[in-house]
Amino acid sequence: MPDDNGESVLSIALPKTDRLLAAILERFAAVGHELEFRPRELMAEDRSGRMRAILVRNHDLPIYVDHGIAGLGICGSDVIGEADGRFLRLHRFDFRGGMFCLAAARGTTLERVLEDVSGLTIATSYPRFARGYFSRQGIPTQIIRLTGSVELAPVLGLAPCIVDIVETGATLAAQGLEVIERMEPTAVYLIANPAYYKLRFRAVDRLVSRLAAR
Amino acid sequence: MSAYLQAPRAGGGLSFGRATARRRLRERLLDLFALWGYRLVETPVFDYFEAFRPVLDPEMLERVYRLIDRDGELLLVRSDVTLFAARLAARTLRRAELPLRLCYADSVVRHEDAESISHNESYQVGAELIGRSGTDPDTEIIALCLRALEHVGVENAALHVGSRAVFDGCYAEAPGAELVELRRAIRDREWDVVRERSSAAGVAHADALVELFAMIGGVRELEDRVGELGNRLPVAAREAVAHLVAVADALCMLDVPPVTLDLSELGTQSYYSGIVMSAYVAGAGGPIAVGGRYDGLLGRFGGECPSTGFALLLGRVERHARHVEIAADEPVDLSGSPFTATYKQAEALRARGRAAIQ
Repeated sequence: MPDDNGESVLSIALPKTDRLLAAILERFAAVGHELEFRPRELMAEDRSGRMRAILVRNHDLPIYVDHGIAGLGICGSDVIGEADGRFLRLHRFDFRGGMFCLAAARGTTLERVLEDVSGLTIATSYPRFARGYFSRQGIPTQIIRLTGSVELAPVLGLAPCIVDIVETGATLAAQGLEVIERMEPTAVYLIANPAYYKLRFRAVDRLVSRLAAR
Repeated sequence: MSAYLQAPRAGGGLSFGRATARRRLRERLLDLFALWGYRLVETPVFDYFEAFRPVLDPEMLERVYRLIDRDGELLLVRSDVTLFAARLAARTLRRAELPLRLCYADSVVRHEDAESISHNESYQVGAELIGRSGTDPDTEIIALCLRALEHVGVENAALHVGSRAVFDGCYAEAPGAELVELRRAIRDREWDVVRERSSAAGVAHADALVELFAMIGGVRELEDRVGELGNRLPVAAREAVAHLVAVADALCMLDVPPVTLDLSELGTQSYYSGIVMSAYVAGAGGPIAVGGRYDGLLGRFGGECPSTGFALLLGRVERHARHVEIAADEPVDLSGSPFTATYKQAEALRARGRAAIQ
């Protein structure tokens, strides 16, 4: 089917995370898509009728896009990296992101944690990223997957190290931990389901151009 | 135990109605391919892994299943029918008259992530035209792909056609290690990464190349972009663009749906060497058909020969195939009487093509 000359109504999934959502809504309003979610409502349409948005949990967002429930989504690279499915990354937002870091008890060095010949034992909510990062360096890892409060793992003796996203480091410091390696910055992307994009590329590209011009 | 409650990944089966629908779909497609002169082949379920190792890129290597036979040989379970068909064709090239037109309908087995919906790729029906290079075979394969989609009633499919040769021409100077990531970034339209990687690889005019690969449209739009690049576009890439334009022009002369030129279509397989195509329909997460030219592949198996082809991913196609009934025929139920009493009546029904049970 030839593209629809840009007349499509765009469907997009947005993360519920308050701070990120506020920044996204502000940016979208600036490019002509004013979305307003009433309290407890999870769906909204912009005033022009050219965009429909749904609010979903951050980690579920790629699933909605992969299954085509929403054609587009806004999501952190940390979440995309752990998700199944293939996504087009159409725009990188300039929102301040965090940094993937390896952290351990204060005073620990990378050399010391690597002394364990069986490899690096890491607790993390980002197993795919952690495994890939250390695999590229030839460092064997044992990954313990946690879904939250990862910084407790070294304190309680579950694992000597964690891989987590660090913004200020205050949460780590409160548990007596510190960063021993800064690994990779995270970024927020406009992602697309490939088939959705290919069928509506003019309308989507128009949105991307406006976002890039901001 | 989850082992009892669900099928293993990449496993599973089809219930009665869907199995019937798939059989009809498969036969409808193979009948069409036969009318175009494509002869059916059956590819082996497994083959020697070492024969395929050089053509499996790292991503595919992670997804294939391997097993060891009783002699200790490492085998590869069929993960991509084109690969297995190419090896089969390479073995028969010496005694075959070229060009060879092959078609197939085979399942593939690959590891799929738990949440992935791409397990629908597990059955492929395709056609391969082996032994001819040039515009005509590429035009034929694209036209056949479009006809196949029409033939099973897939409406409003968008066929995007790109060219790996344009990419190879533009990035001939880039180090091999960068090419995989550059291809991924272009496919995923992550232009910041393309610019960064192009510059890091010492490729000149990174911004202009992004403009070229980002273009989606028709012949005129492509020629405009190429014109803007002028002599900055390497000769090999210019020739590849000319080939793509010639194929697009040839398709315009046929009674087939229009195609869209899209240089971000590079194909996920490392063996592509020329035109690459993907067909999309609304509601499918990924392409429902993929294909392209793979001139170097048969040579890896000892039978250098230009080739092009495509495959329809049946699990995705069947949800959009309006000409294939999903429900199985309800048989006429003659049970309740002795078998011998209803036998003649049942046979009469069967002779008229109606199903009957006794």
